[in-house]
Amino acid sequence: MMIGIKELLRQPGRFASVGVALTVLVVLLTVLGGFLDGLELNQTGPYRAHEGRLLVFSEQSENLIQRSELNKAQATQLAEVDGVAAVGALNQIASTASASDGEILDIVLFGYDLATDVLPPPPSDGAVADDAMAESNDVAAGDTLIVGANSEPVIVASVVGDLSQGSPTVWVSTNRWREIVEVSNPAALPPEDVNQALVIEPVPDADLDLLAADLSSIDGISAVTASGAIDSLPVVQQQSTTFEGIIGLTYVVTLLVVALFFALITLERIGLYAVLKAVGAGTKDLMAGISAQAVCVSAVALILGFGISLIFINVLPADLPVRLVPSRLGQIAVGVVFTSIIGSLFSLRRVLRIDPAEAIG
Amino acid sequence: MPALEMSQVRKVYGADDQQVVALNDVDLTVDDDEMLILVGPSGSGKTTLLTVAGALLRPTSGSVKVGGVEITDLDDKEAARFRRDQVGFVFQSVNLVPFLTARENLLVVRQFGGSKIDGAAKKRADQLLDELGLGGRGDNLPSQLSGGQKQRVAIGRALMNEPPLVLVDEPTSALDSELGKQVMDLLRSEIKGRGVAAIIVTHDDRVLGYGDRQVQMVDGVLSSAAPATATTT
Ligand SMILES: Nc1ncnc2c1ncn2[C@@H]1O[C@H](COP(=O)(O)OP(=O)(O)O)[C@@H](O)[C@H]1O
Ligand SMILES: [Mg+2]
Repeated sequence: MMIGIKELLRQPGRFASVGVALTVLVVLLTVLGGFLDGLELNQTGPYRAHEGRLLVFSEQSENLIQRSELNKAQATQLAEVDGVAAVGALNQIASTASASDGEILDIVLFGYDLATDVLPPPPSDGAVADDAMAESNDVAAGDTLIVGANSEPVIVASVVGDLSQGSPTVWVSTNRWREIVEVSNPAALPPEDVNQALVIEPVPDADLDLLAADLSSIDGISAVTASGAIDSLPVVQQQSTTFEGIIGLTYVVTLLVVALFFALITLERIGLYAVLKAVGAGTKDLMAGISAQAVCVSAVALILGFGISLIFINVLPADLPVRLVPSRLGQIAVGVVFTSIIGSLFSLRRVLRIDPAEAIG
Repeated sequence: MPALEMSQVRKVYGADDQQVVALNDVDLTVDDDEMLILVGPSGSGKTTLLTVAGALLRPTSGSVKVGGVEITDLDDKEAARFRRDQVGFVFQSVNLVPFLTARENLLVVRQFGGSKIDGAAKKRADQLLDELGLGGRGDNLPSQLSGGQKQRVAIGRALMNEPPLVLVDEPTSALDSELGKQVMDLLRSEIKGRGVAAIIVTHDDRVLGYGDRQVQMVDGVLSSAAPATATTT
């Protein structure tokens, strides 16, 4: 191992090529991951705002709120299950809003009953606005939004971060939501006492997964956690399959780059390795050195790659949905180091075959 | 117990009509504090004998015992451990690790097999470098050393793990007579001073006086030569 590290320190130039290649791959992984996370997070704000709650849909809806319908009897039945503290309505409709600057935005209008860790209790009259609108159109508390085809005025009571669902969202009480939908799109209004989805507030310390299973055993009911609901969204599924395909391919390229580099450098070092074997090095000693080099090179590439990605993402237009999530960076770090170790082990066969007698002559 | 016992050792290179018999049923015993000089013309099989004795190469047939242990049937892993602990090899071509300093070239053989480089190892490396007249050269890379200095580092590396058997291949072939004499003086004092066994291969007449005994090899066959007259100054 000492040999590997010393070689790296004394002859860094030999490792420049693989270092640069790995850095580029780290940038690619980080930016791709950033897009994947950005796209997903920008689609799922309303669900993540219900972290720690359960979302209930009708069984046929495949957990999609726009297809789901639950009636009052079902709501009552849910409220009686052990572990349920409160049941609230959740409804949504695609709509438009014009901000005070006159621009007309696509929005999703939500009606809701229960406060969450993110959402304040529904304002009796006004609305909670997604801060995506605050950023793009300077919407602030106290402004009036003109919502829907029938120009319903809604006063912004507060602005809350990270609530987007593709478009910005606006949140009003269930009553207000029904009023607005009734005048702007009566055909879309669920019948009296029917809601699209329900939100379950569990008793403190309840096991969410167990409670979800309990509730789902009721006929016609599908209860999921926020992340379960997110996984059901077709847009999320499609994006992650596509991006995960590209990310997987990038890892394969990383593996090949590292494997090829160390295969070549091992060829160059056959004479040296033969001498080391002749003076007592085992294959294990030599492989430990090679893998240590792979780990060091990938660590440097990760630092450089993350730095470059950060700069790159900052110069991208602000409306591109890229987000750097710490867990994603951690995953890339582990993935790249692991891939490099595996790649370096491809030289094992070659190193095993080196004959110490080649040290002579 | 003798340091090295070779009996009926045969080494044949190549196959079929290309065959070269490099060792032709060689018998050789080296006592545990004996310094043996092995002479013979180029191509007579001297290097092959060292290579077989140092477990770098398996003989075609015959038995090789080092410290009483048969080494011809060691597997690769055991052979590596044997080379690390039981023999010190000085190659004709020196073969230092180019990106390690003189001191690190000594220390590195300590680390093989997962051992730690501890204070004792560092002390031993420094002491060896001192004895070899390289006290101020420990931090130099091989490229910053002369031919004679590199040769001495290679000797230090061979002695680092305190092997009971030292095998040295033509230590003076690349050195002028003054340097050659220096290196041989050093080798003799290191080897005799430690009381270990050694085989020094040479075809250099100047070296003949240095050993306890001298054997000659011609065409893969050993014949004893007149005992060397001990004349070291
Ligand atoms: N790896 C090898 N393959 C084939 N023939 C070899 C090999 N090594 C040495 N020989 C042959 O074996 C004979 C002995 O070689 P060697 O032991 O190197 O002799 P010396 O060290 O006395 O010069 C020579 O004829 C040489 O050509
Ligand atoms: Mg030779």
